[in-house]
Amino acid sequence: MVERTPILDFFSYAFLVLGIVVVGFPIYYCLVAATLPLSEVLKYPMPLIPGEKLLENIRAAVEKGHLETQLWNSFLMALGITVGKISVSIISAFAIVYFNFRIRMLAFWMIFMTLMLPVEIRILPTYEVAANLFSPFKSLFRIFNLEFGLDFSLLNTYSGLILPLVASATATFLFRQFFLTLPEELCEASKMDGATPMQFFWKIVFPLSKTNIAALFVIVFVTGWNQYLWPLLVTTEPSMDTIIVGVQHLIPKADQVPQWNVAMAGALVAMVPPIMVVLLMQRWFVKGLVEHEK
Amino acid sequence: MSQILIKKLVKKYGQNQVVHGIDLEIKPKEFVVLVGPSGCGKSTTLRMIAGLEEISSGEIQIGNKVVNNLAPKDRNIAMVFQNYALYPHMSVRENLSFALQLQKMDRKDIDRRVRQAAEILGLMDLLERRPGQLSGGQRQRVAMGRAIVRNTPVFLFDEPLSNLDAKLRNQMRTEIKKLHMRMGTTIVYVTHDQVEAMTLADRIVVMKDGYIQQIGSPLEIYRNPANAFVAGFIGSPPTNLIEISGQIIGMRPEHIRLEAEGLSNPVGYQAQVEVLEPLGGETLVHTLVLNQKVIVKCEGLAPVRPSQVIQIYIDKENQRFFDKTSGKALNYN
Ligand SMILES: Nc1ncnc2c1ncn2[C@@H]1O[C@H](COP(=O)(O)OP(=O)(O)OP(=O)(O)O)[C@@H](O)[C@H]1O
Ligand SMILES: [Mg+2]
Repeated sequence: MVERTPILDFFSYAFLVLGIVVVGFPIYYCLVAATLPLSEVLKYPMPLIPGEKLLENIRAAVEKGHLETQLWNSFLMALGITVGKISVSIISAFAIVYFNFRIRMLAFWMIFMTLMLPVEIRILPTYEVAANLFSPFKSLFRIFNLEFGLDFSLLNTYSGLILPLVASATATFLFRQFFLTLPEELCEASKMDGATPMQFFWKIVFPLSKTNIAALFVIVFVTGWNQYLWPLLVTTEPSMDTIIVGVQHLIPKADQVPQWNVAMAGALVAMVPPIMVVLLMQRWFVKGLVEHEK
Repeated sequence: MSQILIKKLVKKYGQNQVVHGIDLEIKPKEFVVLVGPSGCGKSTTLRMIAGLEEISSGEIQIGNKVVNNLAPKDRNIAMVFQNYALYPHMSVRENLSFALQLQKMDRKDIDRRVRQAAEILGLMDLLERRPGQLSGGQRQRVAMGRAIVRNTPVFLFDEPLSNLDAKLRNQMRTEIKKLHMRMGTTIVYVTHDQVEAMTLADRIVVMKDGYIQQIGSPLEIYRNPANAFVAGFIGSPPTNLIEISGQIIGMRPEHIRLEAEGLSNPVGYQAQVEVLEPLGGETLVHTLVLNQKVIVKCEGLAPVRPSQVIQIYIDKENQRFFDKTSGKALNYN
């Protein structure tokens, strides 16, 4: 379509630039603060020209906050959540779309309904279960005045960080919608060709979902990386801290030297891995969002 | 000996019965075409043979084995789908070898079979392409290739040409015919295009509303339609059916003449010309006989004008008579 609307174009671009400035300025501010020495960062107003202390500040942040362990923890958690979420949801969507079992619609609606419950709402019961995997049985037994002796806690473990965040209605829903766009004959043709359901999944459905998986990978990895409340609750040992929790420890408290430059350097470090994932997967990510393969 | 034997086959969707106990025997190497108007149950019947649809009651045998409860892959059949159903992420070669790989066939044997099929279908230069990079006709060939490599004795086709334009359809039709002569497979072919049915079939099965109306060779069906529906369905333009004194008379447009000369036993009707459709080599004259539409097919240009009243003639033995209520042919045995 050829359209010439110079005035509209001008306003569109003006809004675009304004938006970029609004979103980008805090990041720029953080970047500048991370490069300044302590004396400069405390000036009011803070200078907006970058200084030369970036590496020193980063080193200070890493030392002060044990960021290397935290980076590793965050990485494991985000990766675990991503792989778990995608595997669980793609296989659930596969079951819901391609198998005609009795409680299929019930299963779908139950998954769909949990879409409406964010993690924060179910955080207390989830914590109960994480603190003792057998607590549901305990409660059941207690009804009959019995004692259930087993305890198994996920607190301060990677499983505790990852498992409660793995189930995802959104991802299941997205995969379901995608599978519904695949022609039904594809499944029938593979049946004629002699494929078992799992062969159909691995050789046809899975490769066709690649771009969707990539897009989801990016989104889920970044949200997983940015989890704050759950890691804060479920880990108490410093060795299990994730970096988002750790950065919070870098923020100066009331009676400390207000080392904002170090805190900002820590925040920068925390930002790098998700940005890397976005950049690395960008090609796939964009493809998955906009392109529909025939 | 029969390749496919269908006994009292019934299909119900819930309360709704769409195939009403049909019987059909198909011999080895036969090319059988199921034809009928949309929604008459052709696809459903074919899909029950394929094993993609459950059988509500009745029995299907393939190669003298009851297959009612066998999975599609154990029925030793291949199927070509209307929209081809090629695997979009696989190259032509991978599409062709998929079934063989699942059978854990030797690499060498797979290559050989794929090459054979590709040569038959003229796909040799396209083996590394994806379906998205092929034209409609080429995709159609790949779909057939996928059936050919499996080397099964039975092929099922569900309206394989309906997504192609007219020219390509004619071309592919001839190719399917050649393929059948070359491979000698039994073919069950569904279409609602009666030209396809006439040109391809050894035997045609005409269906309507889940019942078989008539089974016979194309010529039998053309010459001796079992009822008014079959007469009206087969032929292009279809048989004229007019009601005169409590009987339905069927007259094929190509049997009707504008003059009695050359007919051994002519019967005449008065007709009023409505419209002329010159097609070059022939002309379709649309007329009204006793206020009922009758189409006459004449060679060359018709020497008549619209609204002119003329006499039309037909040989007595080319007329067919049908019962007014049941539609059954009266001189049919
Ligand atoms: N899954 C289904 N559930 C309910 N009814 C169905 C289903 N599939 C087909 N039918 C019905 O069964 C009847 C026969 O359908 P079928 O697809 O066999 O027709 P067809 O002869 O192949 O027609 P077409 O030429 O349009 O392909 C139709 O009335 C259709 O509405
Ligand atoms: Mg059909």
